[in-house]
Amino acid sequence: MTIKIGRENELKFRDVVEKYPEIPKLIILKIDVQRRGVYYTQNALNKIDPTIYQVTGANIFFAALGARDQTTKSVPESLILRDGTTIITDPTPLEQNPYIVDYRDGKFVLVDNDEIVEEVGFWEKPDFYGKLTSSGTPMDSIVFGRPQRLNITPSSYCHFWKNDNGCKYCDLVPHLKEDGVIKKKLTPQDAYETVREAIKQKGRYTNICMTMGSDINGKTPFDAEADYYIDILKAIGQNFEGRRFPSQIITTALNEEQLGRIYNETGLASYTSDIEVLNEELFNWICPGKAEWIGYKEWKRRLVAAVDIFGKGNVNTGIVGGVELAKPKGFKTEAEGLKHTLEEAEDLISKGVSVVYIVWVPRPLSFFKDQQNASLEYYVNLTIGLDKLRKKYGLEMDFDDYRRCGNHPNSDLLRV
Amino acid sequence: MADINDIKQIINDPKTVKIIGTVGIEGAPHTAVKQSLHINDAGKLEYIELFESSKSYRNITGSLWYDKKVSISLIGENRESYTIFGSPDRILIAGREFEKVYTKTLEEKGYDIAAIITITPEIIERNDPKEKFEKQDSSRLFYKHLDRLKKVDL
Repeated sequence: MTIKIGRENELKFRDVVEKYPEIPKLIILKIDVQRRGVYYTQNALNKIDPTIYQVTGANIFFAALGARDQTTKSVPESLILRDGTTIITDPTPLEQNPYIVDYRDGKFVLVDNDEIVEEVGFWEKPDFYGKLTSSGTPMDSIVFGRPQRLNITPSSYCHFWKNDNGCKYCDLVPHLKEDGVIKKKLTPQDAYETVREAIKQKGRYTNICMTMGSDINGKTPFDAEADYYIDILKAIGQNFEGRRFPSQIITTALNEEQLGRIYNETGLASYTSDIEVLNEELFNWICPGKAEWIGYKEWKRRLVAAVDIFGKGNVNTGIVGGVELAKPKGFKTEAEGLKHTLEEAEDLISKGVSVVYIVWVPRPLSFFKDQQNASLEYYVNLTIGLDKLRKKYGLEMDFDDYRRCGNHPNSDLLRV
Repeated sequence: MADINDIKQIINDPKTVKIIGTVGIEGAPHTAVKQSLHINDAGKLEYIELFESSKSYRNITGSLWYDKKVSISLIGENRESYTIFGSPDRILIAGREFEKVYTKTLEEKGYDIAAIITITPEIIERNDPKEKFEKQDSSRLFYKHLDRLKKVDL
């Protein structure tokens, strides 16, 4: 369990809002809510109608799975603010100082220190939830809806865990094993049918994102992963007119031959491969499976090579913001972590690879379970730094912005 | 100052020309005609933003984020005109309410939509030149050219 101690000297939300007027208050709030998590009062839960709102369900990437609050069973999937900003956040026990979601004076609100900080809304339930594919698979067990994006999770297993080389911030496989919910791979037919059903809902989705654990199998490592994405993307693509459709996959760093096949044989429009931490030594320590099978320098090289295939503005990489400070091998100070992270980010961004971050949440079943994430001020500076670099090199990121994704504070800033 | 309900009819009239004025975060002004502007059930101004990539959508988002005002100019069929200043307080990008407007717009006009924008009106000014001159003349002596003040027999 993450215990927050020794954070009294960090700037609080209102201090950071005052110190950094160039970053919108609502984006700073999003970051802080992601850092600290949320606790839903019983009063709020009583008012949340599960026929209207999307509550946590069977999907492997839903918010409560592995959340800091292990007692959570059925809460809103995530939050949305009045400007359309999405907050994907963890249910968190009260003793860890989360924001409170309460229902007051006819509105759902975010509360901190018993003061209302902001009105808040929840994601609405997609129409396809509760329906089955022709094979009897519950559609919401394989695909889930963000406010404007379909998330497809074809497989719940990552092969890096076979020799205990899973990423140290990740709790997916340990949690799935504990809950016994490792499931069969999604079939192309189920994927086709679920997307076909989902897009009957007019105005709901603008992008399809697909991601799963790494699969090392194949003649060349990860051929099996590439082939599987091709099969699913081909099936999904039968639902759309035209050569390409708004789509993103988040895969292991595949080589040019594998990426070329995916690009040429499917309608995929953008590509992401998460490098997770922008430092070679920390990458080797935190992501040993990625280091074992591909390596830091090769991961970066493949990302840059992907720009030649998918085009500038259609390739990016994600980092787990703050994990570069993990103890004992991480950067010793936030200043050092920020400096090195932005230097490495510039190397990628200057070559056409955008960098987005998510806020690191040390989850209870991950290797880093007892650690704490960075200060709010650190994340705001990371947001500012990455946004400046994006502007400097003129990179757009339509496929991974506030609407098409909603989980990256720095790409939220592309709206203005 | 007029009350928003006093001019509800002119705001909701499809023959009224409705122009939103916004300023980008770099300070560049921008105006755009938004004929979907109307008063919603809560007594706030509301319009449909069609273009995700438009300057007006970027600017209105920036206005909400950085607490900047926007202006709305209205010119009615009979030339009656008002300027409203307000603050955007909601950008709806998803959900049933969004989907309902999306579907209606798509069916009627064939367009996609990006968002439904809600603005709280704060100041309403009537743009009648006669009224405005009367007010100015009575309160701002130095704003009048001297030839207009000269004695008639000079």
